[in-house]
Amino acid sequence: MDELLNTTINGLSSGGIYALGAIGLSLVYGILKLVNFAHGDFMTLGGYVAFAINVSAGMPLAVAFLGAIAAVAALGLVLEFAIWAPMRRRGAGIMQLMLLSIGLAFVIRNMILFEWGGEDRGLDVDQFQSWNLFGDVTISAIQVTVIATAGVVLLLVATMLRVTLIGKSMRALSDSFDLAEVSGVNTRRVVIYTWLLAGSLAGLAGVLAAIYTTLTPNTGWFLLLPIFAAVVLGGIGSAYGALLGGITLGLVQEWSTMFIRPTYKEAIGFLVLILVLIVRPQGIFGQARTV
Amino acid sequence: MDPLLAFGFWAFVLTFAGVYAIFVLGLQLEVGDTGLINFGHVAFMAIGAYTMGLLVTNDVSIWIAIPIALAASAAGGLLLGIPTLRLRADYFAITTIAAGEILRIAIVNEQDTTGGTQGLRSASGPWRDANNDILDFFSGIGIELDRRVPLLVLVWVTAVLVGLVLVYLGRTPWRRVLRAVREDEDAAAAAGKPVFRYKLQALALGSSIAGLAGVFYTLFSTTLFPTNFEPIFTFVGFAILILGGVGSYFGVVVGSVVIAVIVSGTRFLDFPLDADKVAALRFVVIGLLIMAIMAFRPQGLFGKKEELHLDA
Amino acid sequence: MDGATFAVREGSITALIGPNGAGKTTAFNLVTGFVKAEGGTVTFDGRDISGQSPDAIARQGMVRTFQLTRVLAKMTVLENVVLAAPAQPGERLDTALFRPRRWRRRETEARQEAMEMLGEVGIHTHANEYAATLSGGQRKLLELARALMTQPRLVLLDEPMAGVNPTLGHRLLDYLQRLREERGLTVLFVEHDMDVVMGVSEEVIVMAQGAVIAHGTPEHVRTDPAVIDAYLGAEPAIA
Repeated sequence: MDELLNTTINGLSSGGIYALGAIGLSLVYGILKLVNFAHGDFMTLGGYVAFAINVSAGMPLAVAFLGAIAAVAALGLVLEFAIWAPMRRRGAGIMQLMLLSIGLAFVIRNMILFEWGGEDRGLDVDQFQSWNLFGDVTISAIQVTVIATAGVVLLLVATMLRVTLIGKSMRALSDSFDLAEVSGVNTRRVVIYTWLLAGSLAGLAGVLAAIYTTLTPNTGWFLLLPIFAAVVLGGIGSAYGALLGGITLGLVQEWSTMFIRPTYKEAIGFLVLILVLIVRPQGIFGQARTV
Repeated sequence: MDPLLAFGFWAFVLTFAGVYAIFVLGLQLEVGDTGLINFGHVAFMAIGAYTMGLLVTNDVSIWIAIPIALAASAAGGLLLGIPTLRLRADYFAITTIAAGEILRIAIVNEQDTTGGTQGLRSASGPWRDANNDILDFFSGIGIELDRRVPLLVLVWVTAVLVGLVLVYLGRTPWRRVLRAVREDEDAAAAAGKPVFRYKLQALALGSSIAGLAGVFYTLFSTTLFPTNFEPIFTFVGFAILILGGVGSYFGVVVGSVVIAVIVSGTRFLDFPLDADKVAALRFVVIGLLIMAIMAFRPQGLFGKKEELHLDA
Repeated sequence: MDGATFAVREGSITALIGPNGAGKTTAFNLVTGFVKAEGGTVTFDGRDISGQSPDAIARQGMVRTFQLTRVLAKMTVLENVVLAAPAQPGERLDTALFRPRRWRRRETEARQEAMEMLGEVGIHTHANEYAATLSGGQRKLLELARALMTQPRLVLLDEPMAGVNPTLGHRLLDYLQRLREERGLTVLFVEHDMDVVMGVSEEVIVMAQGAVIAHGTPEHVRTDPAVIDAYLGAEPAIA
């Protein structure tokens, strides 16, 4: 029982990070038909911007959070105007955009490596503070931060998607771009908001990842595959699906350590991904599309 | 700079380019001819490399180990393909990375067999002996070869042979079916072609070619590490594919040399920067190269614009 | 589909008509294996072929064309048709690699047959161009050529005349009738042009809302009140 609770705490922490990354990836794919392989590196960038603010410049963590979010959101928007929109106008297809994003991922990751070097970095947080809740169940201060932050933000995002006009427009466009465009949705505005949202969430996820694990130029890239898994699990194109897929994946990965060797836990995520794609390709919340 | 040292260095770079060329030839068959986006191609190279390594370190003769390694890679391709080839192209792409990572994690974890992160040592032992025999033979007839030459020649002779076989196959009805499958599966099915079976063949053959690259990788390295077989290897392979041109086997060879030179060759130029930073910049250049090609010349150096199916 | 049942007589030229949304293309998809049916059976030449894959069904002799043409755009027009030639041993990997003579012979034959086929449907002048450059009507003709190249027993044509000029259309119908006489080809086609339907078909099957509502000779069907009803409800009345 204690082990269950501990692994659940771990699962909610990593799951929260996955979910934050997955929502942005899912919306960008659904609305812009872009499988963004650079999304992980957006997260890494968020982590390093936070590092620069928090450690190099010595400012409080909260400022680092805001700085990271702003930086990555801005980058997302700049790239949209500089690359994605022009390519879409030229009729670039899914594969072309995807391969472009792979090139972009290389560029961002290696520029981070260039600027900050490859050593492990961390933010200025207390690694050791933790509380013993009861029995053998412990939770660290870091985990509290991650779960609380992720939880609050995810709730806000879910509400925004459900309740606000822009949120509904995003969901409508993600579901069917042409239909939504024809019914008068201001696609230009929605695209801008999508990148702002995706970038912000990625930046935030990056900072949380930097706190929760070590920060290296590869941090986001390593998270990208589980995030893909989360998106697929929840249903490609569904933002809620991505959210729930992320948390589910985190939990499943951590719970699996109760039965198999912990070093295999990432493989579990991938196994789940393959099984979902074979058995129910539309994911948990996706619509079954005629293939 | 000592000329012999320079030659040894370039032999190393070009041998690596040759291994990559074989790897990407298999990828070209899958991606360029059949339209299968396989992001997990490196997994089959890993199967070939580790099978070869494990057999050879257990005193199996190279001549027996090589066919077994190739068969193992092909079997891996079949194993992956049977449940997943029915999926849509982008879903298939994701399963391939997932499968590749599962394999790599398994290799890391099963340390007793594979050496895990410490690596599999001495896999190239028997080759080193054979290499010495070759060098001695040439020495005997008065030709002094740098010790890296035999492998370099062997790799490139193989790469060219594989390339020629694939070019030859490219003119056959077999490949026409693959291209039809790539273009429009339903139209191919309506013409009576068993689409699934052909995709499976392409994947199995492509995987065994990756396995062949893996075999050479084992001969080439003193130790095999799981980190050599991460997804990034496949993505650099895609960079070569895109540069050379999707659909062109000749382009694969040219692309491999270009990328290998960029990755290793810039070592000789003097930058007022520290080595690690230069290493990072090299990959920035490769990334920018991929982006530029995809944006302005998606058919690469030798691909045909009309046959570009990347705008799917 | 809603419990549709029909039979096509061997050696006949049968038309499948019905207002838009009646389920004609769906029927084609189900029968040729492109869509999995939830229930019911499909029998071809006395054999139950329900649930088989579309390529297996095509190889047994039941071949279809598509309403929205599916040509192999980045292959040439000639290659599109040569692809469909049956019994090409070079399509096997081992034969392709090791027995060049066997398949080269068949390849030369197939190319000749394909050129003749393209000539019959009138697009032979485009043989070496990429199929992507063809117009809509020309693509219909290409699909027809591809379907006929497989030497089918039964061919299901989904709106084969759409976008094709009437003179050529007549020529094609003559060609189909010739094939029927020479090779016993059975034709089932979906068509909206009533002149063609009345003029060429021996039997007409009428569908509406996923079910078959009439089946008989053109004369019989034209005056059937259920048919008139279905059309009046959905489209302008047939003359």
